[in-house]
Amino acid sequence: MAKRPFLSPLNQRRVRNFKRNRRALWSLIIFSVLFGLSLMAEFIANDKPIAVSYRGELYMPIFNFYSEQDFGGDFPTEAGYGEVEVDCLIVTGGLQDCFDAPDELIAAVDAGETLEGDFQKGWMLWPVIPYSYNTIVDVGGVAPSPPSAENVLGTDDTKRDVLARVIYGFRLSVTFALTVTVAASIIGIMAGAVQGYFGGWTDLIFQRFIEIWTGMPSLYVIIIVFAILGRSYWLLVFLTVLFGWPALVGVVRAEFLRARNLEYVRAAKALGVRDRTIMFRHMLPNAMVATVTMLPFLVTGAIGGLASLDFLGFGLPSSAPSLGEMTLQAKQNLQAPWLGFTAFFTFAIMLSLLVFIFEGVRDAFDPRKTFVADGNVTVDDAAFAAAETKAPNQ
Amino acid sequence: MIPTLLGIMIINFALTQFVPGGPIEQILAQMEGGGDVFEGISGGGSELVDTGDNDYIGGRGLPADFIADLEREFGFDKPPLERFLTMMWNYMRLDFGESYFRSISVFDLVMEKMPVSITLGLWSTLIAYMISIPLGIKKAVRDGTPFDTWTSGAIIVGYAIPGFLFAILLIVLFAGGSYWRLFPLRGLTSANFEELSMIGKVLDYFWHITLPVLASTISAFATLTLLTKNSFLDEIKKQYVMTARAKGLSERRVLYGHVFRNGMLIVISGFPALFIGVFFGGSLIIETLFSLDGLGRLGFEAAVARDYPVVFGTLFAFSLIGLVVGILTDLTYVLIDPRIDFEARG
Repeated sequence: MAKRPFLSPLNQRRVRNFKRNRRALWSLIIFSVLFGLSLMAEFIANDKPIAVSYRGELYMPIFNFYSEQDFGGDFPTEAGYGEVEVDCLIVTGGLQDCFDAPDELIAAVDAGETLEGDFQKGWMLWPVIPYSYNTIVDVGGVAPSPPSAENVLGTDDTKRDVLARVIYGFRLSVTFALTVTVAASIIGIMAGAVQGYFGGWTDLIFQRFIEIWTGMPSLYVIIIVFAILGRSYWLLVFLTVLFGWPALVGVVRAEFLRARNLEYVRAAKALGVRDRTIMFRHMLPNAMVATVTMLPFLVTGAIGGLASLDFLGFGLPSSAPSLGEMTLQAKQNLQAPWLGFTAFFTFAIMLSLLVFIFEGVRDAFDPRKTFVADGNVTVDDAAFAAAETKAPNQ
Repeated sequence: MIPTLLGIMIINFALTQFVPGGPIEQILAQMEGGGDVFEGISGGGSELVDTGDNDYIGGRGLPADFIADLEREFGFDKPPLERFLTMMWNYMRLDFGESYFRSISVFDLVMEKMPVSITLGLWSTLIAYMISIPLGIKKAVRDGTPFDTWTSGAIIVGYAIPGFLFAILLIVLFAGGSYWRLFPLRGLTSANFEELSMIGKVLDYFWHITLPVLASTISAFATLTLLTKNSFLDEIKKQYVMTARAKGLSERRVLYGHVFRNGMLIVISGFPALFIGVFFGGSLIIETLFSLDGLGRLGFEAAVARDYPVVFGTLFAFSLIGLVVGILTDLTYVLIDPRIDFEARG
């Protein structure tokens, strides 16, 4: 018996089409690398070492809590790995002289000397960037300090490392956008499907409802809800989805309205197939192309929306590593152009990659493209223009 | 259309009834030294404004009859339904009332903000059309060439990146003082505007609006260019174009004499919406960044300060305008292209 392939022939062709679109393919590769790295942000930019060897034992400060006492210090609080005393304690294996002359002892250990007393050589493995997104960097000078060897992209106006914030902020923006897009798509597709499939009064009433819904000033509502419930990531996701789902309804509804009179749907109805099965098993795959067309705009819209909210100060809690907040800081600190450049180029790169990827996906789904023999995929501007008129405006 | 409008008003009115932090609290807060809602953004201060307190701040200090007086002054002593009906009745007669915080009618307030909105709207629309239409035509003619692919890529990237990020980049580069100090940072005109000569005034105005207009134009290219390109592509494939070519007309004549008229139909049908957009468009963040006082900011400030007459007045007026424009667009559509109709077909 022949092995059944993992993907159906149609999907295989879609994958092939996507791969032929070089811009999309490269964007996907670069984006995956960047996103993969940012998912491991804790191992790249953190104010705790990845691994500590203290008196022959291995500690993992990223995952576990260790007090200073664990390393021979005085306090039961979490060890401050960046402090020179703690550094010395770990390297020397807990010599009490560390409290008097840490620098000399570290230098001695580095030089390969064996110290007297209860000495046991230890080491720390630091992430590439020894700051987390909220670490206050200990450098001299006025607050937004310019790029230097320690802070490659400088620091912001509360002396936090910009590069570390970019890495965490990138992850936050992308996960936010993807969560919102997935949730808004599911709701939007279901709503559009129901509306288009049943038509008539359902359609009419729903249509009015959506008009009213989109007429609501979303910023206003977000401000109010935040004032009552307090700010949080998931609340913002919820609110963004709440105002984002109508974007998809239009296209899905149109597809279903068109398809519900087609032969195959009537045949299925005549056979007594349930409404739900007809909608999601038979009609939805046909409406997918129209849906996928909207995806680039949903994703970039979500990121742009989050950035604007953060910029206005009505977004995520102020402790979050937000790129929008960095943009605000750039405006407030014009003498520190590295903030503006970093914010702009981070967004520019992130959004361009996402748009190119989703364009590739959309082209791969397009039936007109799928059956082109030579497979010369170009950017499908028609779909863009069609979707664009309905895209959410942030 | 009317049920929709009514629905929008009801929902928003209901919303404001159940939320804390009404105008009275705002006044009390101001009396106790709270301040400008924009402190956090444009002033350079780093503290964000707390916008919602659950209690009357005044409950801790001011006498109760003072608060009752305030309530009477704003009409909050009446039941919500009565207030809503009075409001709607006034709006029906196009009487939008007065702002709570400035003794100026909502209509005048909107008029006051118009120069900024018209400036941004008019110039960015003009620039967008002047670049997008020729570019779209060129892209249609050279469909599939590297030129087409690359311009598409650039346009879409420009569209995907929010305008205020471009604004930040422009400010840092051209107005921040770190690189080139070519353009002013804030305002629509200089402080000594009144003393300038006529030419000086015009120059001063353009000098101030260059950056904001540029920032709000960049994202506007995408839609129009691609719309133009597609309608041209559709037209170029048609028979009459081949006929025109067969007659021996020059490519220019074919494009601008024959195709242009038909290709532009869809662009022209967007004119009513465009026209309104020119007057009432407002981009909150761009206005804030360049310290311009336009409609985008008016709406935001009103929402944050709970200036209900302004919130509802503008909401009503703009929803109404939006709905009328929707109908107008459909009508122009039919008017300029008799082939289109909206009859239902079985």
